[in-house]
Amino acid sequence: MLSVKGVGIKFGGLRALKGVTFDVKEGEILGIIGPNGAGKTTLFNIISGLYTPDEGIVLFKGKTITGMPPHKIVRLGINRTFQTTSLYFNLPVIGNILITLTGWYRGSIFKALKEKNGEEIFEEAMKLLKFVELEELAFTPVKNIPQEAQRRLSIAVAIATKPKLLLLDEPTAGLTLEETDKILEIIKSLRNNGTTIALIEHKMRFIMGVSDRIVVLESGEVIAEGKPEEIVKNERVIKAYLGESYVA
Amino acid sequence: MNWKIVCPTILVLALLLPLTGSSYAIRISTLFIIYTIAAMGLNIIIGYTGQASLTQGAFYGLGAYVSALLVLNGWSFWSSLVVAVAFVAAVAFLIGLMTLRLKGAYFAIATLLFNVIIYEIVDKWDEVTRGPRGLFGIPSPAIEIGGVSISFSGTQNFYYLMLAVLVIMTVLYWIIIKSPFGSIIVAIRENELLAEYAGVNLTKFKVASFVFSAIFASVAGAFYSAYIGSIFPDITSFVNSFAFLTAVIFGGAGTLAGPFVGTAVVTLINEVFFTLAQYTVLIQGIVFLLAILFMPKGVMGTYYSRKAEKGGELPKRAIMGKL
Repeated sequence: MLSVKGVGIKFGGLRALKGVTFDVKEGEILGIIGPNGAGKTTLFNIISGLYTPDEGIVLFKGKTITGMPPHKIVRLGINRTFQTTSLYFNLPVIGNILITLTGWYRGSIFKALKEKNGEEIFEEAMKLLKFVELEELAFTPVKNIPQEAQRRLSIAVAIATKPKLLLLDEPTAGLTLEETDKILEIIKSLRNNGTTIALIEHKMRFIMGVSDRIVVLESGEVIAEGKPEEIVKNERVIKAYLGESYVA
Repeated sequence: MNWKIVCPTILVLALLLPLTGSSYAIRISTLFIIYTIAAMGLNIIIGYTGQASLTQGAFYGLGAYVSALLVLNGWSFWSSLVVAVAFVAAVAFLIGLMTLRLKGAYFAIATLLFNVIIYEIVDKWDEVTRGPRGLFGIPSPAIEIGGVSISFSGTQNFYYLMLAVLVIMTVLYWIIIKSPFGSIIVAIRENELLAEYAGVNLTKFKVASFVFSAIFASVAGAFYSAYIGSIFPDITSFVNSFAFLTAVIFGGAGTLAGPFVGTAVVTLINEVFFTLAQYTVLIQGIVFLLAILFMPKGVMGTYYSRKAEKGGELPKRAIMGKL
């Protein structure tokens, strides 16, 4: 579904990514792990159009998407969440979804001026809130809901644009085990509904449990790729995470 | 406040105003209407889209100049108005394309520079604009209905004309804000990155709201030149941009009624301190500072905040961040 081919990017003198190559297959959950500063978020920023890589290309369903602005990539069927939760903080919970659906359905200026938001957009918003179990907080200002609920809302905002591929950037960072389980359920039911997912995580147990395959990044390069059980045994991965002395 | 009662009441009072026989009141009200139209436009780009444009005065002045020049060349006011609006919209489109990729203060500074450039062109391009000598004897508009010609030369006639124009422009303003377009520009104001990830082409929507704001300014400017009958390059200067800005901020940026309230206050201040006319900018500056320091949400913004705190019901559009 998505092919990343030889992608590299430099920030000033720093090489953030170098020759990164991997695929995301339709219907799978792909985990992306790596130490801090490995370039995971940079990779998401490239796939979702925020950065243009200096070398390499990204193909989505066989079409080159490198260099496209985010709004076009979103329309092709990729969306994402952000590491630092990004929401319309001044709006109520449901307003976040409504405003996203409005942007999604009335993306052309002509449509935006001529057409009206009907009841159906409200119903769709409520459905999305139900999916992430936030319907009871629908009219609460986002500022006043807990961080964990904000995290779920940000997933609802991203899937409002009906992505075929969803990139989740540390969806459980800072959450308790119980809260993490909630997110896990959401991710699993998304996949069951046919959404392909790539996610960045630090929680090893979480990512090993949820991922079909894992890509390991270190210092901007892919050092391993494979099934979770293969990754845990991989020497380079153990070295990158724990240091030389832990390699058996 | 129930707007369904307040608005018609104000409109009826406005229709009855000439009965007072005070040409002073009619004159101030006419100017108030003209300034309000420009402020409404500015509110679209500043209040709802969140882009601090500092060039509204230039669009206002340009609208005045283009329509006045055409009228003085024998065109009818109405066709001059259409050309002036189209011309200013085109200028705003080009400036918007160039500047709206910039963010925050950079956009503000860039638009301020364009204001200076437009002023300099109007001031120095003597062959076309007559430069600092200005334009005089701009005739009043007139219409013909069934062979009867109605001239809007008298104070009272012009006032009624402006009242009609205000109603039309307010309806347009209301449609723009209330439509999905209004929600999308609010999304851009609230979280640009997230709006882009809703599939919104930010540049398109920002440029469109910039063009809308310029259209309102040019309509106001064209009627101003026809009302006053003479204009000078000053009209395109930053002083006017600043006056509209003060009105929008003081009234409450991003609220529907803000520009009306703010313009009323600015117009009143100008009248109260009439004898200190040379200090108008200073006085406006003080009002602007006081508003930013003590009432950053402006009159209407503060009104809605208080209402929300007390658990009062906000307008339905507030769910999408619109006030």
